[in-house]
Amino acid sequence: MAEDRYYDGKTATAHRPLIRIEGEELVIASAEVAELDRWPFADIRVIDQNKVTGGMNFGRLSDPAPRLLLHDSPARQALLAAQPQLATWKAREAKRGFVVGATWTIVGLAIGAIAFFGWRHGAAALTQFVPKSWEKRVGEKVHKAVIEGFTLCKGEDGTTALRTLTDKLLPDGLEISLDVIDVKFPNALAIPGDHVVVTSGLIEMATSPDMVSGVLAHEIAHLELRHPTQGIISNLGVAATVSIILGGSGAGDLAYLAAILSYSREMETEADYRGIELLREAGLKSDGLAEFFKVLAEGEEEKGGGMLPDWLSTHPGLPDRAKYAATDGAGKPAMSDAEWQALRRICRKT
Amino acid sequence: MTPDQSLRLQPSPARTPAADNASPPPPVQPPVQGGSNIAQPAGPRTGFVYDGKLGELYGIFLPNLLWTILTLTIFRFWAKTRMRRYLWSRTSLNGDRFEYTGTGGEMFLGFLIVMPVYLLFIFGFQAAYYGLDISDAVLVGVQIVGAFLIFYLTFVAQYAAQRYRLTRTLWRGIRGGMTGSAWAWGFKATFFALLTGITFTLALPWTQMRLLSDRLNHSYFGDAKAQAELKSGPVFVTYIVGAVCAVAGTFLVIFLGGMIVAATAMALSKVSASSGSLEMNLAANVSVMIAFALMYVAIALIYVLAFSFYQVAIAREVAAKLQLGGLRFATPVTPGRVMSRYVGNILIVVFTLGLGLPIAIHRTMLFLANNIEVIGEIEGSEITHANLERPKVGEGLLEAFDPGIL
Repeated sequence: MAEDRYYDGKTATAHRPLIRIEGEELVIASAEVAELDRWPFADIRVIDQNKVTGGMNFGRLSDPAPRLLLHDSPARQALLAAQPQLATWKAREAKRGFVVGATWTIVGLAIGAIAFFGWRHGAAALTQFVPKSWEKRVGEKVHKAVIEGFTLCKGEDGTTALRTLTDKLLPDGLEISLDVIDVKFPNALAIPGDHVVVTSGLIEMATSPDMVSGVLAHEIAHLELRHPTQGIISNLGVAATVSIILGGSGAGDLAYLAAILSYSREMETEADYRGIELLREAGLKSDGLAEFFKVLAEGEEEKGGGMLPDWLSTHPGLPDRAKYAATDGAGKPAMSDAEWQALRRICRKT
Repeated sequence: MTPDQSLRLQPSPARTPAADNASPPPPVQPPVQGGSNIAQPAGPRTGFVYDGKLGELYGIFLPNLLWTILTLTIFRFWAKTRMRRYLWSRTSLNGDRFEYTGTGGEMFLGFLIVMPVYLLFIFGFQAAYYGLDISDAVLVGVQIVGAFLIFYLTFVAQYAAQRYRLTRTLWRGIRGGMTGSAWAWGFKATFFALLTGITFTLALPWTQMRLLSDRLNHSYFGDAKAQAELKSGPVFVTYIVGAVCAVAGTFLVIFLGGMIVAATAMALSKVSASSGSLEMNLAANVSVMIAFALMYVAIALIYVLAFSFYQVAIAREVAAKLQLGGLRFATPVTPGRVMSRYVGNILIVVFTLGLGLPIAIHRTMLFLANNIEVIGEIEGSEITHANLERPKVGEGLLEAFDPGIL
């Protein structure tokens, strides 16, 4: 196998070449033919070298097909001496590989950085261009999907109490639907298209109506600031990036699922502040949310963590949040005692 | 030089007695099941030689792996190219080595071109679902059409990828090529897939052989066209027997495994209910999961066993019918070798968490070299370079719909 070979690129004939050098040219001959081909030194490139046999595979820059396989011989040594850059092909190839790898590592990091820092701000700007009607349509489906399979709590007095409170909090020009679902887990969701869903578990865990009004104001603030739409846009961008990088591996779809209804830290902080404003404008006590965070934080400690609802665990640390949400205890209570008792019974069917 | 002028590449009578009736291809006796007494043309027998070293493979694999991780998998195009260059260059026929001339850049470009279309496709469906006011019936229709489109594009991609690889394979200074439309073949393959479904896979051997024939008969080495009129008759019985065994085996595993799992889960849940311990509950869940994983492996093994005979039948049929540039082929492959290759490779890759991949590749190369026999000799001066279409970019579509390792 360690024989020299010459292929002219025109027919599949394997020649046993005899090589001689004339000036700056490599002359390829064979036992039968005095001259098969003539390769100028400057036109020669190295394809690769077999480590085991030592054979070097040469090609031409001007023609993709012809090949000359040479093992160590005086002719090859003369060629390599005349064209020293040929001998360093391996280093050049390694360098090219390194450049490709390093370039894409840097590009990957840059894309990651943009996705992390820049894109979320871009999403906020883009949100302004999304028409409300589109938001409504999307929201309807998400809303349906969220409450599907759960029992809605429709206790009459409780619903009225909640509605009265909501109306006090709503800023001008915003109308929302509000549902209570019978779920033990304490949670509240703002859904695109101006829907809020609260679980009965949240109402049960609250020790005062002000805590409920705090959460409600927070969710309404999300809707007023159009955070659900912003969240979808920003997370879709991330999902698209993941898809582009990984190709069709289904990772994009997973990211898409995660995209719906999750907010960044900045959005949570914004909603905290705006929620407090809404409470103040309504003349209500604004420390309910902070109190509620304390209750939740204690619960978390007792359980050793890990059982937090999604919308809290991705949020700023609970103790931090309790701090800046703790404004003042001034203002009226969120509702009367009778209303609060009615709200606590909202899921009972009597 | 057009492909049609390749008729003079018929085997010369001196080497191949069967070539007296030049076209259609020489009759082949219906193979006897399990036997290998197919009429073989005479001529010197050679084969492919793979002389790659496992150490050298790791020398390529490990840097590739590192860069692929660092670049969030973008490097995979260059990684695949490096691996192919090595494998091709360590494979030879008649003492002449192969060369892979593809580049990572052109493969990446192919991926870049296809990716936006693919993204539009995926996100388009999601957007349609959430954004458009259409009835559920229409949505289901759209999803069915979407599933078919994915099928279709996967087939198109397979054909296009074969063309890419052939045009990037050089031997004795002559490259391969492939004619025919990938789009048209994809359409045919999709229709055949539908047909296979309608006939409860009974039509599978026929459709597979037809599709494989198409791909072979459009393949070239230089201006020499491959010829293979594959018939499904010789493989049909092994397929039916294999399918029956596979289905029966699957049901048996599900039945027995299901009973064991149910019994275990019940026993464990009784204990955990009485003790109320979380650990027991966890143990029950974990053991059920392990049982399912074992069932999955058992079913996979049954499929390999059941269909290895079918694989061998296909290989024998291809070897018996295929001719290229005066060469004929034969294969000494046996179901045992097929099983050992698949089962061995799966176990190696799984138990080394992917780090054993070069070993699996090495075994596969040796498997291919050991199981393809070449009869006759290529008359090199009769095969010339042909200007068959050479795609500028590589495998983008395949990357999107059927990401493979090699």
